[in-house]
Amino acid sequence: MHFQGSPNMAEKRVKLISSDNDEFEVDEAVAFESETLRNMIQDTGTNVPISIPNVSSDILAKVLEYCSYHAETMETHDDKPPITDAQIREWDADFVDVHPATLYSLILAANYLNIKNLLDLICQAVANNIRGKTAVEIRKILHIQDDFTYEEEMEIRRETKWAFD
Amino acid sequence: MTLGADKVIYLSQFPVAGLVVDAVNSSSEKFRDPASRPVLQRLTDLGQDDLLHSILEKLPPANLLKASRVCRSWASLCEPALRLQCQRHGWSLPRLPRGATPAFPWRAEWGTELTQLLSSHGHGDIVIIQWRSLYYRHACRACGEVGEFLVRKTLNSNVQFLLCGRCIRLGGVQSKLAQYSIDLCGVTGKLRGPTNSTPGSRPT
Repeated sequence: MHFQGSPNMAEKRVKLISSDNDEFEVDEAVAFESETLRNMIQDTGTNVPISIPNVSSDILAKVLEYCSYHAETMETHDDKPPITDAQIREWDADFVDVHPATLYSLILAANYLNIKNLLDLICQAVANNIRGKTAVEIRKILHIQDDFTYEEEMEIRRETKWAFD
Repeated sequence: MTLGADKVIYLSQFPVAGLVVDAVNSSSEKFRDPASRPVLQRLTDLGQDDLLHSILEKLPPANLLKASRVCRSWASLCEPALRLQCQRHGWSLPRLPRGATPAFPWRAEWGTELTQLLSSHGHGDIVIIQWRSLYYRHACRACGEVGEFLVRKTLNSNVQFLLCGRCIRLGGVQSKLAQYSIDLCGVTGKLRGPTNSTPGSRPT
């Protein structure tokens, strides 16, 4: 599988191997979106394939899709109009509109590969799911047990004596 | 998030995509397909505090207050984000007089040193939510944003809580105030700002 950032990027290519032994070839600029890969490439160079044992091929493909898009947005082209912030936001919103299982794998992959922007994007998407919900609603949705002690519960009640919600 | 190499090794011990470890919490039983569980639930079950913290810090302060009442671990995880909010507004924790001891666990008056002392004596499980309490005292009781108006039960009584200028005009809030038997003449209050009033000033 090949991921290209843009036609005029550096020719250096990096080989990545997923947990299920699929091989991905990407531009160095795409791989450099990940701090983990950047450090590995700086240590070993681009000739050695980099194994990523924690990330499956479908998730790695998604991650590289994100990296290549964002590497491309950094580039300036004479023949193409620049990608606007609104377009990037729209693309990002579509990117995280996936099944919770995929989102969970993506957040782990982004954390492992240390891709700050992707991690921030996913964290924001996950945080939006509980926005505006009360503690009771969050507990109900996420099946989290209320483990406050009696004293702590009393303290909360004292604090929320004048609650409006 | 910037993680060191040691952190990366630690994360590699967690399951990869498709594999789910049922941790101590048996909440997964409620879902037929464990992989369909919400991300937050899976992270809470697995105790991945660094990722949970990254998610919770994206919440606005009003939601952060609600999230900190979900469970003890979330209460602890929300503290750094609430501390940042407090520091952004220049609010600091009150200092205890020398030799004074807090009256009860879990009070906002507890300082970091006392928390460490408790941990060293085997009471590390006590959740300290001092920054949450501090933010809550300054927050509008209706929306959770920063409050502007001091609300008293009667004109001469102590300040009970704060409301912001937007919420104070809402019919629902006013009816709630009436329900709490609050003197609405005193509620219309005076704008509480650093130049024109002090924390104990009386609304007009």
